[in-house]
Amino acid sequence: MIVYATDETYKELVKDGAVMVDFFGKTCVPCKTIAGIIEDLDDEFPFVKFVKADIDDCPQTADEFKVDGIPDMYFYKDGKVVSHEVGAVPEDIVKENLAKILYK
Amino acid sequence: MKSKIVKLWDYKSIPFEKNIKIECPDEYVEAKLNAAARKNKSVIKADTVGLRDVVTLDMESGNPYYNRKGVKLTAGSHLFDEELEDILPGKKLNETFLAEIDGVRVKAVATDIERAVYPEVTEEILSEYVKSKPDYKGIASIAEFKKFVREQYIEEKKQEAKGEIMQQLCMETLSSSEFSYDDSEVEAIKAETIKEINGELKSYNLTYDKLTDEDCRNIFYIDSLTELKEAVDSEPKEIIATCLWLLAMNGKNPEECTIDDAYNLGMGFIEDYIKNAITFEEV
Repeated sequence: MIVYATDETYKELVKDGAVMVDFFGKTCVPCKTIAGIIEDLDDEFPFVKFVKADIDDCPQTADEFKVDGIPDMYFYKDGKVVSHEVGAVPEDIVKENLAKILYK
Repeated sequence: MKSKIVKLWDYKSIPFEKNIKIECPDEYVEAKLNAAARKNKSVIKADTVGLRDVVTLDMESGNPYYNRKGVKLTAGSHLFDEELEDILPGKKLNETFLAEIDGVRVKAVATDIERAVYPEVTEEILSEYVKSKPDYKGIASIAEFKKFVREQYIEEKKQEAKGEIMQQLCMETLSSSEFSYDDSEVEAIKAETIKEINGELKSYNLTYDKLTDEDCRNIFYIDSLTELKEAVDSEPKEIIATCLWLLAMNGKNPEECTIDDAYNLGMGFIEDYIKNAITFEEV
């Protein structure tokens, strides 16, 4: 499931289960690579929640997480950040992080 | 570098698989094609596990990793466990089965199976989809798409196979060779490794000297602190041995080179050797 966050909805969206957050920008080219990967992974792992956080729609949250380079990804398990990746990392790396929040 | 080679094994004397067969499964190609229609997919319940089905498993085992209930996984994604997922296709709903994974006995049952059903992909649907995927730029028909996906898969498998052989040759060469290690060089690399680990641990508010077994499992996928420390202790020698080998293969004198110099030389010599020695057969 892919959902879009705002500053108001962010905490509610990440509080339960396995969640991957992608801080992105509309004009950021590497973010489009990650967007494609997320679409593929959403199809393959429909039981993971993928939260897309546009930094313009979530300025306070982006500030709180000190997002200064995008794409910036956080991997949550039951509300707790388990891992973090910055940049257009390959799909395998994203999958490794999903394994951490799903099964470790 | 101050360390030295005592005896260097000839990597060309190590046997390896030279004729490699590669088969691209039709299911793989279909799954890639289905992605074009995924916006309109529906989900049905199934009574037998198929590749890419979402399976809910209850497992019993002496190993805590395989002893849990309600685990959701995608069959064949290999995210949970490659061996277990590979034996899932064909298993029936609510039918208990036994598996042995790396010597661990696991009793499992699929309590739910969900399957995505995709509408048939037309040329029109595909054309819209490829517009949003730069990797598929220029593909104009379903036949071209399938051909591209198949070729890409085979190329990936070729690279994987070459990588595995390279790893085999490197490991066997280094473990059959002998080196004389300079203590200060070993300690300097170890200190650098610990510095890197501490950098990674910053976001967890931890340091290397305060790690616990649980931290090692959660952060590094390593079972215990003892195992991590063993890896940190052995890594400097592995790095030095690799660098000395690289320098030797490129005719360089270690005394006049640094570790960075060695790494900059790369593994071209062994890549060329493997490339010339193996043949691929597409089946």
